[in-house]
Amino acid sequence: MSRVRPSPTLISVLLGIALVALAPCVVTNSYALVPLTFIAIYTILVIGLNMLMGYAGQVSLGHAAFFAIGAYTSAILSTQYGCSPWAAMPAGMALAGIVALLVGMPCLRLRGHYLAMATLGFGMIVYILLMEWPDSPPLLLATLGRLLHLPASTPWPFTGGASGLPDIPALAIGSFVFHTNLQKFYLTWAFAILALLLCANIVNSRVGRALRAVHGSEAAAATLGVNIAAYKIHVFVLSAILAALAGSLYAHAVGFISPPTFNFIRSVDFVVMVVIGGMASIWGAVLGAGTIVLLGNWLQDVGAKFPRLAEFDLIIHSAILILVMIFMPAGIVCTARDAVLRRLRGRATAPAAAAPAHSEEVATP
Amino acid sequence: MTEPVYARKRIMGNLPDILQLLFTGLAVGSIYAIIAVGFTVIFSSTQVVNFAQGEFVMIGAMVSYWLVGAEHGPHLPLLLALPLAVLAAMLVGSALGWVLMRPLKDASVTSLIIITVGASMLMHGVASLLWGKDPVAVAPFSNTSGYSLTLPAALTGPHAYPVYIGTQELWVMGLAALVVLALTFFFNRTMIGKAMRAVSVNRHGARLIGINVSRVVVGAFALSAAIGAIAGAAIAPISMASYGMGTMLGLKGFAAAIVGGLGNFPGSIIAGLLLGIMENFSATYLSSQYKDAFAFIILLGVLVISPQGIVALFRRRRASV
Amino acid sequence: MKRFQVPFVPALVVPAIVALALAGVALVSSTAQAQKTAYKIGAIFDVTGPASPLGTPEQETVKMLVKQINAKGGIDGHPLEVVYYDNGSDEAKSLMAMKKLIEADKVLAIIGPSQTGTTLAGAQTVETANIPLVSCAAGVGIVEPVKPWIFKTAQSDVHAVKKVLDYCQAKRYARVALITVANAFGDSGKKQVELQARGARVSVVARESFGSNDTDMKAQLMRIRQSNAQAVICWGTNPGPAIVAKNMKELGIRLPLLMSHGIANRKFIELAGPAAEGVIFPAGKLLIADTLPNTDPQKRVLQAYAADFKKTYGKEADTFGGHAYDALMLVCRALRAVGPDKAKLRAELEKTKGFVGISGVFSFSAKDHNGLNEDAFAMVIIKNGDWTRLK
Repeated sequence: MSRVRPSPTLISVLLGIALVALAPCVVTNSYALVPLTFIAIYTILVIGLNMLMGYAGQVSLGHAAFFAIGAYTSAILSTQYGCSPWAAMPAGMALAGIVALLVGMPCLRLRGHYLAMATLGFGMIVYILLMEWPDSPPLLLATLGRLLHLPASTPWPFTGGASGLPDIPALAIGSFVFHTNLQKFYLTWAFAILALLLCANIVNSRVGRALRAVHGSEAAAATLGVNIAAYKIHVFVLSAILAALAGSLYAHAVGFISPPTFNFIRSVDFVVMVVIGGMASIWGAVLGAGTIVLLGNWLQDVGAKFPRLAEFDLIIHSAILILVMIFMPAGIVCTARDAVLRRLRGRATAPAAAAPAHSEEVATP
Repeated sequence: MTEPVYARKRIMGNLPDILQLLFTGLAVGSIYAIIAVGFTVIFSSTQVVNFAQGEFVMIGAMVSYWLVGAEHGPHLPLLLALPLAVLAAMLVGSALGWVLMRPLKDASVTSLIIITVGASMLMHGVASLLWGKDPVAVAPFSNTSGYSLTLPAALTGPHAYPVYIGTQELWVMGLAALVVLALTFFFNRTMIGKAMRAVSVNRHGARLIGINVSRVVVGAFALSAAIGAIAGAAIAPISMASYGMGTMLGLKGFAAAIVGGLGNFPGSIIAGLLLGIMENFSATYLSSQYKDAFAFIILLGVLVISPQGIVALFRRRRASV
Repeated sequence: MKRFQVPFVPALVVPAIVALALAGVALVSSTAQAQKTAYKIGAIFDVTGPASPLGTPEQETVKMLVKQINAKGGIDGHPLEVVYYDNGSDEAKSLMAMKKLIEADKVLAIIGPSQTGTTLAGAQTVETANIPLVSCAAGVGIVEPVKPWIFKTAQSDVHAVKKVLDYCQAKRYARVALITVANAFGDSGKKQVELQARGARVSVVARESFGSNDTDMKAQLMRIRQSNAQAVICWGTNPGPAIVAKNMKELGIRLPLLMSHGIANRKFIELAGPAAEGVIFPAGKLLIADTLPNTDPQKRVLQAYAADFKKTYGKEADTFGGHAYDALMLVCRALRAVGPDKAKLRAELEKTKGFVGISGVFSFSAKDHNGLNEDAFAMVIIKNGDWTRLK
């Protein structure tokens, strides 16, 4: 495939910053910034998952759990322990990273889709824990407390159970609180762009090359001395940390969290975002998150105008999903790129080049 | 907090209770087992984890409800309704298999799985429109509701409770056994069954020796849907039926399929039964709050100890002895 | 295969644009005809997703009522216009819908959503936007602590639990076993029972839980059987409680079975069949409207609503629809009194006294934004497949 010379990462990042900065000028309705804010939050999570799926060739069916760990750690620390949200956020990320290490270690040493199965189980367990925590929390913690001789009145954290945790403070710098739609929009996108930059850098670095080698052929990579398992675990932990960051931002942006937001369906939603956007493509993450959020938003609007259609919401949503997957199995980014390339080069060489299986080149020409 | 510790002590060693838990556990486990087998059938021939498997269960339950008991339905006798429900699910299943045909050639397994997720959502949506959103009661297969067995006092001591043997639970187990027998016959004795096995072992090889792989794939989906629909029709009188009933059952069945070793036919049956029994025992003896978590904790444990499933674990043990 | 790829995108986009354009036209034409400016309020219900059994009758009720109100000349001649959004039982979508109603549709007040979670997800937004919201959800967390702009019409679990525990006290059940569904409804019920148990001199001797899609609850009930409970309290919504009732009969547990207002519908009797016999629960008066004494202020309202709903939709009205009835009528009443001003609407809502609705007789105050007490409930027993009031 043809290669474009100037550093594309830099250009696209600058372009992205410009787009974000100018978006509020184009999008004059401030309510329209709300779905855009959710896109930023999901983008952060989806980039990590995209790297995991695209470069490490592993699927996670439990990323909502890491999303939850970030959200609940942030919410609990800032509402129950008077912690600053800025301190709570990295705490959640660290916790998610450690948990991911524990979950990923045994599975990622093996070949095959064991991580998908393990994360599915892990996601369900976290969801049930969130639901049932307040009732019998401390079975584990109480034992711990007894071992450490803590007083009985120790303020154990509580998740609010199925009823959820309300009144989570918004993020603030000094006395400046990120309150309005516009402020939240800029805040979340600042994080999203940082995350995009981070991942673009990783992809273009030595680690990235190793990852692509792993994705191309594990056996070949192993012969070249790439420690496959270690790389896979790194990517998985990174994706969990990003998911926790997204969860933390979600909690502070919405101000209320409850378990249904973090169930299995949500994990699947995230995978759908990755695949729709295009795997192994950092910008595919933005597109995938954008497509799903805007589609949901648009269907909600259509439902408001034509109440009868509201009932068909799920059917339309799933039909579009199935059609996209059948006709663009490599995701929007890759399919669009292939189409453009084909136009550019004429039809003569098209068939072989457009095979969607190799999509590594998107982020790193 | 007055946790009834004494209660737990009294239950220990209580034979009727154990038998009761075993019985209900086996009934639920049979359902998990059949669903797990459904996963296995599709996974072996396509490497696709079919997330719409739970919806086949729902279709079986809802169609048989509509045919037999719905207010505006045709009020068919069960003997006729059951095959029709299975047929309906098979049609939906083949349609899904057919839809997957095209991307099956060049798309990644992940995007195929996403298509099954989409199909699951689609079936959800259509079912909620067709049959409404409220759960519905489904008539049991036979009129006698069940038997209370009182064990001899010599075995249990005084004041023991009788064991309740539900008729519908017996139907569930019977149907599950029948499904397993029929599948064994199908895979070992019939041409198309053998073709399916060939495809699962080596797809390209199968194509070379003249097996129509597309037809096998569609067949696998139809078969898997039929199995799911039987499970759904059988469990509905116990659990009630609703458009959302398939999701959790599908996930538990999937857990069973993994615990049994994905693609392993006897493994998924054993794992399904075990999961059902363990779930019931843990709800009584440990905590019902975390009941649903146990299935997935077992799943994680098995993945760590023996990723190829529990059957592989035993096989390895035997090999090392 | 490749031939399909390019035309596919336009194939999606073109109908999308056409649909949006149509939507715009439809909106413009519908508002253009009104003589007096329409009063516009917003409605968010969980019409799809897991909570759809709640949201669907709520939206149906509001649609029916809006037609009735406008047929009678609207509110002081102003036609009533309602903008409906479905949140798909999802908290993020609920928040998005609230922002749209406030900023794009510029509504005067919002009714709904149907669930505690979907309501609370928008609580901060509603509070900072200074717009009155009347929720149809049951959770106490919505009105405790009181948020100035947020009201709710569904009876709180506080009162339902009080009614149930009062009954236990009257019957001298000192030890009860609790079995609740693992969702917000069951969680709230469980917390309330634990909270109020001591005051009612009742001790909770077993706490069990079941998943909303569980198929069998015998394992939990066997634990309860082994405890020395004198009664079982089951807190959940269909179909779980029906399975609990059936399994109790099957296991031969003859303890009295008390349930929540979550089963106050014909559906429960249908699902549980003969096992429903003898189940006792607190119900809104809609269920027993016909048997109420004529002196009961709610009787006429209840009968009229039940008859209208039956006539319009061909099915029985249920308590969820009743919550939406109350929410809409409360807002309309306030609109009639003070006109289209959000701050005045809020103040007027808070001043509401003795409003006769479906869920009870509402009297709001600065400290109470639910406005109901335990008189909103009546204890009911299921006998011969029907409800009979206990007294």
